[in-house]
Amino acid sequence: MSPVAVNPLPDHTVAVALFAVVVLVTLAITVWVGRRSSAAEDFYAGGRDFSPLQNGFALCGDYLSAASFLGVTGLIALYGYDGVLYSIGFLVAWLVVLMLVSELVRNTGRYTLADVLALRMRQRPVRAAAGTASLVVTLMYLIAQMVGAGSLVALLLGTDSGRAKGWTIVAVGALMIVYVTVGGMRATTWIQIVKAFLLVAGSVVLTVLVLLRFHGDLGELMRTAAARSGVGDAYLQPGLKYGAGTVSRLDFVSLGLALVLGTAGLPHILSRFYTVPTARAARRSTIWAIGLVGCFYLMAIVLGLGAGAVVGARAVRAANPAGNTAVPLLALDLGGGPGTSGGVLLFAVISAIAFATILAVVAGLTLASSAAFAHDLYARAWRRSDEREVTERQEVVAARIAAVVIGALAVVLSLYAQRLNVAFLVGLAFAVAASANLPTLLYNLFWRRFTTRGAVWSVYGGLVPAVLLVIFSPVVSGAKTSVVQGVDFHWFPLENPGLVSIPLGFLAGWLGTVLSRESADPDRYAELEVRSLTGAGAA
Amino acid sequence: MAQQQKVFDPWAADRPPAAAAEPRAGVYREVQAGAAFQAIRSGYRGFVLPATAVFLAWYLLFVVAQAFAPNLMRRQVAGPLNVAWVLGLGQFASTFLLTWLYARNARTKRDRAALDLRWDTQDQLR
Repeated sequence: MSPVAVNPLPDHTVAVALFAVVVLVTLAITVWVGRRSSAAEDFYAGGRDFSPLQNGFALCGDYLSAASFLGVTGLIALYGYDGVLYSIGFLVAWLVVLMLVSELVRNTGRYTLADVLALRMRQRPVRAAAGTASLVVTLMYLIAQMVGAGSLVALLLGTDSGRAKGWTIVAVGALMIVYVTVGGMRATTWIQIVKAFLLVAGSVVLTVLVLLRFHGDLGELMRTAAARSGVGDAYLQPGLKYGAGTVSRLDFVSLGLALVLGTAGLPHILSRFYTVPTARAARRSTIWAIGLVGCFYLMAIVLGLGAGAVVGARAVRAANPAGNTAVPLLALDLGGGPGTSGGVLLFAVISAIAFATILAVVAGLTLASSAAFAHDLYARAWRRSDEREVTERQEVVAARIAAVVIGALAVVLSLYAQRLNVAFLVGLAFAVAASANLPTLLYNLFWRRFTTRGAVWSVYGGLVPAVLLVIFSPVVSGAKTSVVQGVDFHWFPLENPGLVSIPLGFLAGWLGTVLSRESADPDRYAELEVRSLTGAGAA
Repeated sequence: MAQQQKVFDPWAADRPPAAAAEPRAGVYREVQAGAAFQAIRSGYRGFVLPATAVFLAWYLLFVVAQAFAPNLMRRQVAGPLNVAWVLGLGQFASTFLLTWLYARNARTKRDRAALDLRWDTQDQLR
C-alpha cells in the first residue's frame, strides 16, 4: 500500500518544513526585488530589462503548472500512451507562439493583449472585449490551479479533510496576492525563474535515477511499465483513455485542438514578452522556453513510465484515482522506499517543488488578470473620451486593488469548485483562450481588412459559445462526474468545446469584418505592420 | 504632449484627429510600400505561413490518426515502439527542428534589415 495513506507522519514533517522554506524564499524574493515598482512599466512589465535566458526560464515557469508536473505524469503512469498526447499538444503549441505571436506582440503592444488590438482598432470596444476575455481565461485557469493546490497539498500532507483543502486554497490565495501587490512583475518573474530551475533540476534528478534503475534501457522501462499496468500491451497503444466510441474520439480531437491553439492566447504568457527589451529578445526567450519545455516533457514521459514501472499503476491509483501523486511516490521509491531517510527526503523535495510550481503559476495569473482589469477595462474601456484620463499612478493602484479582489474572488470560487476536475478546467481555459483571444489576435496582425467590429465579434463569438457549450455539456450536468447532480440539462456531447468554439471565433471575426459599415483604416494597418516587423516605436 | 516625447504614444488615448496623425501615417505608409520593408515582410511570411501550415497539418494528422485509425497506430515498429510512439516522438523532433530553422531564418534573413529600418523609421517620425 502507499505510504501516503498509511503512515503519514514521518514523511510529512520534512515535507512541511520544506513547504515553509518555499514560502519564506518566495516572500523574501518578493520583498527584496519588489521595492522599486511604483511605475506601470515596473508593475506590469518588470522594467523590461530581463535577459532572454531569464525570460525563457520565466516563460517555462509560467507555463508548466502542477497540471504538467503531476497531472500529465500521472496520466502517463495510469494510461501510458494516451497520457503522452497532453505533453505533445502542450509543446507543439509553442511553435504558434514562436512564429506568429511572440515577436509581433512584443513590437505592437505595451502590457496586454488588448494593446495590440487598440493599435489599429477603436480603443474602447476592443479593450472591453479583449479585457473581459482575458479576465475570464485567467480566472478559469486560476480556479483550476487553486483547486489543484488544495487537493494536492492535502494529499501530500496525508490528510483528506475538506477543511485542510479549504485552508490550503485560502493560504495559496493570500500568498499570491502578496507576491503580486508587493512585488509586481519583477518579483513574479524571479519567482518563476527559481521555480522553473527547481522543476527542471528535480525532473533531471528523478529521470537519471529512473534510467539508472533500468540500466539506461528505455525499452526495458516501457516493457516493465506495460507489464505492471494490468492491461499489458494496450498500455503502450493509443485508446486506453480516449478509445470508447465516436464521441470520446471527437472529444480527444477537440482537446488536441484546444491545447495546440490555446497557448498563444493565454494572457499571462503574452504579458511575459513585454519583460524583455526587444522583439529579438522575445524570440530568443521563446526559443529557450521551447528547449526547456520540450526537455521537461520528454523527462515527464520517462517519469510517468517510471512511476508505472517502479511504483505500479495499482499503487498509484490507490493513492489518488487521477494519478496526481505518481511522481512524489516515484521519488519515495527511488530514494530508497518508505521509512528510509533517502526516500523521505526525496519525497519531501519533490513535493515542495510541486508546491512552488503552483505558487508561481497562480502569481503569474493574478498579475495578468489585474493588468487586464486595470490597464484595459478600468483605465480605458470604461472611460468616456470626455472624462479625465486615469494617471499612471492611479492605474497601478487600481491594478494592485484588482489583484486583491481577483485573488479573493478566485479563492471563493475555488472553494465552491472543489468538485471540478482540474485537468478539465485547464483544458477549458485553453479552449476559451483559443476561441476568444487567438482568432482576433491573428486577424489583427495578418489581415489588412480586419475591422473593429470584426475584432469585437471575434472575441465574443469565441468566448460566449465556449462558455455556453461547457454549461450544456456533460461536465456540468447529466453524467456521474458532473458538477450539478440530480438534474440533466446537457445537450452538447463533448467535454471540451474547442472543436466547435474555435472555428466559431474565426467565423465571427470574418463575419463581423464583412458586415462592417466602416472599412479598415489602411494608415493604421500600415503602422501596425511596420511596427510589428521592424520594432519601430516599440515600447 | 506627443511632440515632447521621443516616440509618439499611440496607446495613450483615442487617436488625435487627422491633423496630428497625418505626417505619422504618411511615414508608415511610405515605409510599408518601400522595397526594404517588402523584403522583410516577404522573408517573414514566406517562411512562417508555409511552416505553420505544415506543423499544424502534421499535428492534426497525428491527433486524428490516433482517434480514428488506432489499428494503424498499433502496428509494431521496433522493440516496444509502435507507429504511435514513433509519430509522437517525431512531433518532438519536428518542433525542435522547426524552432531551429525559424531562428536561423530570422537571424540571417531579416534581423539586420529590420533593425536598420527601425532606426530609419524612427528618425523620420521624429
